[in-house]
Amino acid sequence: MRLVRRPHLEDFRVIGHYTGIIINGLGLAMLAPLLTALAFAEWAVAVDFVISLAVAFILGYGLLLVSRPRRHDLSWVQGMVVASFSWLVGMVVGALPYYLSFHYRSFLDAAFDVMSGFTTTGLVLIQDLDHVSNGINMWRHVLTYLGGQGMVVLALTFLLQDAAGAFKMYVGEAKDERLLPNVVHTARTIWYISLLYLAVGTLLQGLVGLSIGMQPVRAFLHGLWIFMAGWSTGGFAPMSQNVLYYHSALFEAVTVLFFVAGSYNFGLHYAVWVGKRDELVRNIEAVSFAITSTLLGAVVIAGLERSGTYANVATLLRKGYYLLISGHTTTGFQSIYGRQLALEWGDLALLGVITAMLFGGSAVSTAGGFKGLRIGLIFKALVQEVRRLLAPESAVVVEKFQYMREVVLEDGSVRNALLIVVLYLAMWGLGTAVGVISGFPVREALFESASVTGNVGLSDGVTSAAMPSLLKTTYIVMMWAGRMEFMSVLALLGFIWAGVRGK
Amino acid sequence: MNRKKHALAWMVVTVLAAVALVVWLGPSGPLHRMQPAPRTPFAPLPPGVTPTLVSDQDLVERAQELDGQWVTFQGEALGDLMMRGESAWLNVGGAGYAIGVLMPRAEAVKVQILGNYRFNGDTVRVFGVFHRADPAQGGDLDIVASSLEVVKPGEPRPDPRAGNRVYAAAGLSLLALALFLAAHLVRRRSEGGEGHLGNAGH
Repeated sequence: MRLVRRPHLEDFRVIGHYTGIIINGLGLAMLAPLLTALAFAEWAVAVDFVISLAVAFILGYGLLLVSRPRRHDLSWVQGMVVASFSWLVGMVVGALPYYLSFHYRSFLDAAFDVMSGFTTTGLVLIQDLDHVSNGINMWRHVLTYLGGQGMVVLALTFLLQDAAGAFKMYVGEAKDERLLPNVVHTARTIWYISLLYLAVGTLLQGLVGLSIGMQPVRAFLHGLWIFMAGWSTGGFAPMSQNVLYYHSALFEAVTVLFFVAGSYNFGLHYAVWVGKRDELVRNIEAVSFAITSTLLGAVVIAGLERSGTYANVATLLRKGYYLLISGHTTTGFQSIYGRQLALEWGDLALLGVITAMLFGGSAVSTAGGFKGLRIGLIFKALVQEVRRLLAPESAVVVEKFQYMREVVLEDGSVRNALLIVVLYLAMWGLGTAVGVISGFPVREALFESASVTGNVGLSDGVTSAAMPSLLKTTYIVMMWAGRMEFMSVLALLGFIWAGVRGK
Repeated sequence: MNRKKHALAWMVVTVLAAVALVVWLGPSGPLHRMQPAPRTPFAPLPPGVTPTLVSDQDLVERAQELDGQWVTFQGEALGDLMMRGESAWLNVGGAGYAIGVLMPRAEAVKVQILGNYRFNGDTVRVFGVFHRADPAQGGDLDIVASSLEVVKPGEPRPDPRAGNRVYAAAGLSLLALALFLAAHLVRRRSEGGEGHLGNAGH
C-alpha cells in the first residue's frame, strides 16, 4: 500500500507565499550594497543592484500574487520545504549582481559564491577579488551576515508579525531553540544580539585597521566586512589574501574574539545577556568546544612541530591555533595560502584541522559542522553506557547535561544526534569521492570536502573557478544540505517525490 | 561535586592532556628549543648575489626551495599602503596570488596608485629576501624588500558594462512596482473580504 500523498494545490500556495516573502526580504537586503555603491559613486554597480532588486521583487511579489493560500498556518513539511526551497531561490536571485559584475566566469560560479555566503562557508570562485567594487563587497558580506542569522530568521524578524507555524520554518533552517516563548520574538532577539555585536565589532575592527596603517574609510569598511564574515563564521574577506592581507597579529586576534562568539549558541548569548553567566562554563557546548579545541590544538601543534613547518614557538602557535580555531568554529579565515596547507603542513596537523572542521561550532549559532551539542550528547551517551555496565543490574543510570537548563539524556536525543553525524560523515565521503573523481589527490579532496561539509571555508587549493562543474555542483548541494542539517532538504526531496509518485 | 566544578575540572584535565599530547607527539624534542633567528631588517643586497626573478606562483608553490633567497618580484601594488613606523606593508599582486612585501617607508612612498575597483595600481618591482614563514612576522609568507621601483604607473580601469543596462533597470523597476501595487491591492481586498492572510508583510 502506498502512503505517499500527492501535494495539493494548497501546499504549493503556502510554500509559494512564504517563499515570496523571503525573496522580498532578500531584495530589501540589496538596499545595503545599492546604497554603498551610490555612496562611493559606483554608478554601474548601482544599476546592477537596481536590476537585481527589481528581479527579486518581481519574483517575490509575483509569488505572492499567484500563491494565495486559504490558511496561513504551516504544516511541518511545508515549513521545512519553505526553508530549503527559499534558500535555493535565494541563491539564484542573490547571484544576479555577482554575475552582472563580470567577476565570474559563469552563472554557476556566481551561484556557488552565493550559496557559500548564505551557508557561511566562505569558499570563493570570484575572479580578481582585489579589484572588486565596494558595492559587490558589501553584498558578499551582507549575504554571509544574513546567512549566519538565517534568511527565515530575517523574514520572521522584519516581515512577519505573527505567523502561525513560523516555528516550523525556523526549525527548517536548523534552528530549534526558542529563546523566548514566541518564535518571532526569538528571531528578533537573535537579530538584536547580532546588531549589537555588529556595532561593537565594526568599531573595534575598524580601530585596529587604523592602527595598522589603513586609511580611515577603508579601515572601517574592512572592519565592517571582516566583522560580518567573522561573526557569521563565514570567512569571506574583501581581499584575495583573506586575513593574511593585514599582516597583523592584533587584527587576527580581534577576529578570533568575534568568530568564537559567533560560533556560540544564540541561547548562550541570551543566557549571559539575562545574567546567567555560569552557563558559560556549564553549558555542554561550551565545555565540549573547550575540550575539543584544546585537544585538537595540541594535535595541530604537535603535527606542525613534527613537520618543522614553523621556526619558532610564537609563529607555530599563531599560525597553528588561528587555523585550528578558524576551522573549529567553521569560520574559514585563513592566514596562510591554501597551497601552503597542502604542501607544508604535515598529515597530523591536517588531521587535527579536518577533525575540528567536521566537529564545528554550536547548535543555533552561525556555525556549521556536527555541532558541539551532538559531540557532547554522544560522549555523554558513551559515559552512560559505561556507567550502566558497571552499575548493579537493578540500578537506573541517569545522565544529565546542562543546555540552558539541566536536561536528562534521552535515547531519542542520542539517536537523532548520531543520525545527523552519520549523514554528515556520508556527505563528507561523497564530497571526497567526487573530488577524487575530478582529479584531485585523496588528501586534498578529504580536506576540502571536510571544509565544505562543515560549512568552514578553509581551502587547500582545490576550490577554484577551474574545477569541474560536477564538483562545483556537488559542493553547492553539500553546503546547502550541511547548513540545513539535512532534514529540510530531505523534506524538499520527499515533497518532490510525492509530487511525482504520490496519490 | 556541583556542575560548575565539574566543568572546570574537565577544562583542567583537557589542558593537562593537551600538554601531554604535545610532548608525546613531538618527536624532535621540546618546543622551547625553537627560537627565532635574529635578523637585520632591510639588509642591502650582498655583493655578488644576483636575485632570482620569481613569479607569485613560484613563491607559493616552491616556497621551501626559495626560502631565504634574494628574489626579484614584479606585480601590481594593491589596496593599502600600511605604514608601520619606519616600515610599510604593501601587498603586490601577481597572476594568481598577492604577496606581502615589507619594506622601508622611504621605498614605499614611491608608490602613487594602489589597485582597487577604479584603478590598476602601479606595477612595482621589489628586491628582497623571501621568507616561506617569516619568524619575525608571525610566520607570514613574505618578501622583506630593501628596495622598490615603479616600473609602470597605475591607470584607470575600463568598465566592461554596456550602457543599455540603465534601460533594463528602468523597465524591470516599473514591472516590480506594478506587481508591488497589485499585491497590495489584492491583500487589501482579501482583508476586507474573508480575512485572507493578514500577516504577509507586503
